[in-house]
Amino acid sequence: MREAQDLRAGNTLKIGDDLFLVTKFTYNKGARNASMVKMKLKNLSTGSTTESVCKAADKFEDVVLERRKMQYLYSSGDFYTFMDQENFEQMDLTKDDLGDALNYLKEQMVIDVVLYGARAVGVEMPINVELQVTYSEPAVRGDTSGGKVLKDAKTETGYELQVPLYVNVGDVIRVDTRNGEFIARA
Amino acid sequence: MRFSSIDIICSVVDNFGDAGVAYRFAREFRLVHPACRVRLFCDDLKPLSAMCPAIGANVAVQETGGIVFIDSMRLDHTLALRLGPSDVVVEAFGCVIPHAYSAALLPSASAWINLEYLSAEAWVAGYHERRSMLGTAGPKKYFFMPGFTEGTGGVIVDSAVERIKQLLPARRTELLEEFLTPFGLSAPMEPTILVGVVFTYLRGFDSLLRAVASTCDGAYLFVCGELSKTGMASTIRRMNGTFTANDHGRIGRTHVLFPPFLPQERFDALLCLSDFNLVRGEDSLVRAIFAEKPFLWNAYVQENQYQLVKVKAFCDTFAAYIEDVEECARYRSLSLAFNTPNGKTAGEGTEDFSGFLGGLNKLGHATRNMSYFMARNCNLVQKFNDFLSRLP
Repeated sequence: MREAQDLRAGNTLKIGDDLFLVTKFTYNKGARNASMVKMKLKNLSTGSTTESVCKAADKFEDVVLERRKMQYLYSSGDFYTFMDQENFEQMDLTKDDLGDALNYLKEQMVIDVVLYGARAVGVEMPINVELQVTYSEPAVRGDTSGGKVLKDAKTETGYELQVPLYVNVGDVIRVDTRNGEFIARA
Repeated sequence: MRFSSIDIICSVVDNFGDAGVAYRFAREFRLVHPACRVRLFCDDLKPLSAMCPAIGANVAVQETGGIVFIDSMRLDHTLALRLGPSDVVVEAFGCVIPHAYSAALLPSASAWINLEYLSAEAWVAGYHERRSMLGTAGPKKYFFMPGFTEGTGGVIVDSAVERIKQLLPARRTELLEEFLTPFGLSAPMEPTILVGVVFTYLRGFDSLLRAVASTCDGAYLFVCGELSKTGMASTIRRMNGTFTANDHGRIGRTHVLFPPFLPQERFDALLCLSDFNLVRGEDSLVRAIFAEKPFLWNAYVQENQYQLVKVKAFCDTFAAYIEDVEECARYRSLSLAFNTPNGKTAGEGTEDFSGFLGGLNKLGHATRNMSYFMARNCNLVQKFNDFLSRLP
C-alpha cells in the first residue's frame, strides 16, 4: 500500500478490479497541516480517464508495471514517438498518456516508458529535470522590499513556473517533476 | 438523490473550531430540512457542551434542538446497529471515521462527503464536488470544499447571526450592556470609545494597546480564549497596567475585559456589537465577516509558516471588496505581519495597528460588501443541498 502523497505521474494503482495509471498529480496543503491530492487517472483496461481527489494520507494498492528506457524522438500531430534503447523499437504515446510529463519533455531525453502488456501506456519522469529558462520577468531593484521573492518564468518546453528573482533568461534550472516547482539553478 | 437522514462525523483536534463548524452546519442543515434526521457524532462532547450548554458533555446519545448528538468514543458495534445507518455521511475535515461506524453503518449510506477546511486558495475550486476513488465498494465519496467564491462550497451563513444583526443598531446599547454589566461597566455612549474583540493565538498586544490609546478616547476590549488571555495578561503587566480584578485589566483609558467562555451565539453576538474584531481560525473568520465589522484574521499556525500562503490568498479575496488601494495595501501588510510568528513565546507585538484603527470606516464598508456577496452567492448549506440534489 502507498499513501497518495507519495504517488506521482507514471505510477499505477489498483482500485477495485481495475488498474489506473496516474497521468497528472497535484498536491495541495490544506489547513491544520492536512493535505489533499488530485490525480488524473487512466483506466488501463478501458482507456477512459477520470479525475479523482483524496486525502494525502489515503492509502492505495500500487502496482509496478514493466518499464523500459526509451528516448523521446519527436512529436507528430497527436503522437509522441519514443525509441527503445535496447532493441530500437518505436512506440507512440498520446498527449493524454503523457499528462504532466509534457511540461518537462525534451527531444533526445531518455525516460522510463510504462508498459501494460506490450502496449506503452505512459511515462515516469525522473524526479528532477534540467530545463533552460526562455522567458523571465526582469528583477527590479526594490522587489523584495514589497515581499516579492518569486517571479514568473517559462522554460524551453513551454512550462510556466515561479522562480526566484535571481534567475535569468538562459539559465538552466532544476525542476521537481512531482510538484512542478523550482529547485535550484543547475 | 433523495435523503431523509444525515450523519455528521467530527473529531476535536485541539481547540473548538472543528466541532464548532460541524455543530453550526448541523443546526443550519436542520433548519433547511426540518423533516430530515440530523445526527452529529463527535469524539469529545465537552467543546460542544461549552458552545451550547444544553448539550450534555457525558451523555452517549442525546437529542437537543432537533439534532441527535452521539459520543463517538462510546460507539460500539451494538450501539451502531441500534442507531442504524443514514443516507448521507459527512466526514468533517477528513476526520477518522470511528471503526464501528465504518463497519456497521457507512456501507449502507448513499453518499459520503468529506467536508473540508475553509481556504481562499485558488486550488480549492478544483477539488470542489470532485469524486474520490475511495469507497468504490460502498457509497461514493466526494469532496466538498468551502471557500469564498461561487465556484467553491461557500461558507456557513448562520441564521442566528442574521437575527442578531436585524436587532442592531436599535438595541446595540442594551445588548452591549449584557456583556459589560458583569464587569461593572456601562455601554459607552460616545462613538469615540471603541469596543473590540480580541480572540487570537498566543501573542503580545503591546502595539495594539498603544494604537488603541492613540486613536480613540478609550476602549473596551473583550479578550476571548485562553491563548489571547495569556498574551494579553502578559502585555498588561509588561506595560505597567493594572488589574482591578482577575478578569478586568486597565491601561490608561482602555479597559481589558476577560469574559468567561462564551457559548457560540453569545460570541457571535459580541462580534456583531463590536467596532472591530481580531479573530483566529476559519470559523471565527467567517463570523467576523458576517458581523460586518472591520476585522483582522489570525490564521492557524502551520509548518514552514504555510499560514502566510493562506493569509495572502484571503487578502487577495478581500482586496476585491476594499475600494481604497492604499487601505488595501496597508491591510495586507498588517495581515502578514500579524500572522508571522515571533518565536514560540508571546513576544511583544510590534505590528502597526494605527492604519487599521484609522481605517475602520473603509474596512467596515468592505466587510459589509463581502458579507452581502457571501450571503447571497456562497451559502454553504444551500450549495450542499444543491450538490445532494444533483447526485444520482
